[in-house]
Amino acid sequence: MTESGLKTEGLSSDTRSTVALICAHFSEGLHAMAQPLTVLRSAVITATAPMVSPGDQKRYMQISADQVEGACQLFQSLQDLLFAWQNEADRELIDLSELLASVCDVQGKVLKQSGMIFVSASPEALPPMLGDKDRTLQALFALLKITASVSAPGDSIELRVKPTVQGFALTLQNTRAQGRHLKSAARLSMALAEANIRSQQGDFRFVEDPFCISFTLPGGDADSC
Amino acid sequence: MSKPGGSTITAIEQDHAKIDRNTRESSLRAGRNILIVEDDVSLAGFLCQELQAESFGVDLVHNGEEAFETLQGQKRYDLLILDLNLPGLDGVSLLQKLRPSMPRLPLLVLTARHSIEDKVKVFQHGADDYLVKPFSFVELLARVRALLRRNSGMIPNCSQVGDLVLYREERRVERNGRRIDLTPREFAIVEYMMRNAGKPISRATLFEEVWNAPYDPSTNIVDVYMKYVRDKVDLPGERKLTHTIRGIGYEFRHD
Repeated sequence: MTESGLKTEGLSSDTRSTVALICAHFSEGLHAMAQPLTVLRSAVITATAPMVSPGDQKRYMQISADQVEGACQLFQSLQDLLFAWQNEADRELIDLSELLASVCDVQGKVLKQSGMIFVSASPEALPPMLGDKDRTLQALFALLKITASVSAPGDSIELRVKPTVQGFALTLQNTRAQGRHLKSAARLSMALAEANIRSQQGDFRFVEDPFCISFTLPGGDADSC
Repeated sequence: MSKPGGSTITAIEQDHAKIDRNTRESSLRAGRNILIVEDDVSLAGFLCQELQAESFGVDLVHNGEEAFETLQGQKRYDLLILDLNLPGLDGVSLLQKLRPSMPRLPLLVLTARHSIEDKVKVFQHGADDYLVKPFSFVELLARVRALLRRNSGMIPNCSQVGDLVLYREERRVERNGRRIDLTPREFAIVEYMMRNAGKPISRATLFEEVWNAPYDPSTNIVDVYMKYVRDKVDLPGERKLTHTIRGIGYEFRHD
């Protein structure tokens, strides 16, 4: 049995771990969904109560609208998570340097505007990567955004990329982000990033305190396609 | 076969009935402080706002460590609302850390887990009640009030100063058989003063206990309300039970 109570007898150890991971990811998703649904349920019930003033009614409807928006975004993430686990990742040659440059350009500006320092340490030219461009882009954007969410102005966020025998080792960290924790929506976003990385046979590790995400992406050449 | 959405409508109607009942029902909320430990900022903010609107004093923290520190501080809390899935020191660990030193603090756990094992575990670790997300605020409010009512068992239902009698549960005050109609705020003042009969109570203490806010010396709201209370409690010809203590505040006593 997995922690979730799902029966996994007879499955290989690898499959069992994957099932446990999928259960953990969807558990994150359900937990995240429970938050806006609680506020939404409460606000709708209170807004439609007989003696609520028109002003309060308007306020509760605004709260409801905000929560519906949040719930829809989480629902989209859950759908993406399901897609990531259900479908095979593409295997195409990707210029990781180019991908990193575009992500760092966009997210670097956002981080700078928030008063954070973004340091990207990567060799000038990287060998080709063999994987799924969309999934890699989602993971890189999401992980940078998540790191920013636990960082404060003045913090330094470092992205290090190292070629390895199998491909690439990437580390994203903010050593000053101690005692800051991920919100449930960010945990779901991280689950999606992890699913997208693992679907490309990458490894994924996360330490919350001090904040550090490390993962691998597969390398390859034209013959591997 | 029930029509689509029928059960939802029924649930909303039932909740409306609860809201009506809650409005009419007597409560002991004035002067009660609640600490909410919830990492979801949006949900925490909503709960805080709604409980404040119900006249509770509410403080909010977003992780277990902060909650533990807050509970070790000077301020006394009457109830803890605790989300289990907290970052850092999680809800269960916080429960285990708290219970030895605070065995009587009423504790309502919020959780997204709904299996019987999870529920049993929550009680085994010292929770007094739990609510599974997504819940409705009216249900949370009802449970909060039930926990506070249960905990108020140490305070007798009836208080008496001279011929003035207060029945907490019934929210009724009588003097020599005469029923005294009080607003919720006036009732909270009389209840607090009778609980502390024979002791001078400062304006600041009375304000903080009844209004759940830091005292502002520039306001005379306490004096205004005490006048309302005095006019209702001490009628001409009756022995005076409400006394002004010069330079301090007020006292209820039967000389």
